[in-house]
Amino acid sequence: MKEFTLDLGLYRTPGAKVFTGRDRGRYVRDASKIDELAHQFDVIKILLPKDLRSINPSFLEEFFYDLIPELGSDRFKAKFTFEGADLYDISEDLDDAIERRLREENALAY
Amino acid sequence: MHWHIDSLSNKIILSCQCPKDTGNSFFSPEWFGVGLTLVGLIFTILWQIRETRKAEKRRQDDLISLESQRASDLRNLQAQRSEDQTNLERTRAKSIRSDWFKSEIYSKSTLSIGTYFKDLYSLRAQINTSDLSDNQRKDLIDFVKSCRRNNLDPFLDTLLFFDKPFYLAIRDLSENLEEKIINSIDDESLKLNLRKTFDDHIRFPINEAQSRLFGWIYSYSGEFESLSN
Repeated sequence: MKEFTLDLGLYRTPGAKVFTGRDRGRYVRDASKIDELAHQFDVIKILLPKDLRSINPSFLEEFFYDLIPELGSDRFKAKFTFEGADLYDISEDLDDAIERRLREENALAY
Repeated sequence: MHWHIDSLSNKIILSCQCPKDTGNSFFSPEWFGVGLTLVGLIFTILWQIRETRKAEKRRQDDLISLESQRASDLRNLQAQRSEDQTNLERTRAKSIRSDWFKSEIYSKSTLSIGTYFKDLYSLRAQINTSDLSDNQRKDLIDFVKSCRRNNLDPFLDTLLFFDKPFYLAIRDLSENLEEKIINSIDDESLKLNLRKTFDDHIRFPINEAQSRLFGWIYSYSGEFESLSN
């Protein structure tokens, strides 16, 4: 099983302990080449900064913009793992992001 | 040679008395007069025929032009009627959507939208020290996210399937507000317990987003058009 570790700390705004905004999410998606990595590796471990305080769902939606609809919720969660932050637990924001992204994708059919 | 109109038969009667045989040729003055009169008469008749034909053609052209104008007017009238009908149907549909939005979506979310902004304003009371700890900042950020999750998301979820441009506008508005507040809380150089700092970085952005959101909601006419507002 091929595994890759992506250090999200490399892409944060200097001095900030949060990841917010769709623009930032798009930037990190392009800079990290997450879409290509997702197709090359079976599992991707996202290393969160130790002092991270928050990631906004909107950031995650843009970061994983194509991967969430492509993989669906269960396969996405099996492929991506998040670890490293002392204070912050990503699970609720990640669930929000996945749910919203899938809902918006479904709404395109209307 | 002479001619007259017979009123009974309505015909031109042409009578001619041949010149007396004087033994002269056809070039005699009598025959020349007869020939000249005949030529004049033929010319007159041909001229009359030509003028009649021209008048007939003009009349036909006028008729064709009139018919063409009528057909064009009719097409324009039909197009106008069709456009009026489309506009009427669109206005009706917008009116129905506007009523539906107000009665089925907004009225059921009025309280939660109000609570969303009220809870965000309550940050003023929650930030009572200039020296917020990491945990305090994280809790405040979690609180801001929970305001949206608990109060605004249910409204947005319904709106998404009702009017996507309207959904996107409100989603972006609330996300931008949330981003500003979270970045301000995350910024350790800001003393948010000071009234002016709090107002500049948190209260005023909330005021602006609130007035914009309610402006959109109250002016909603069944179709969201003011993305740039």
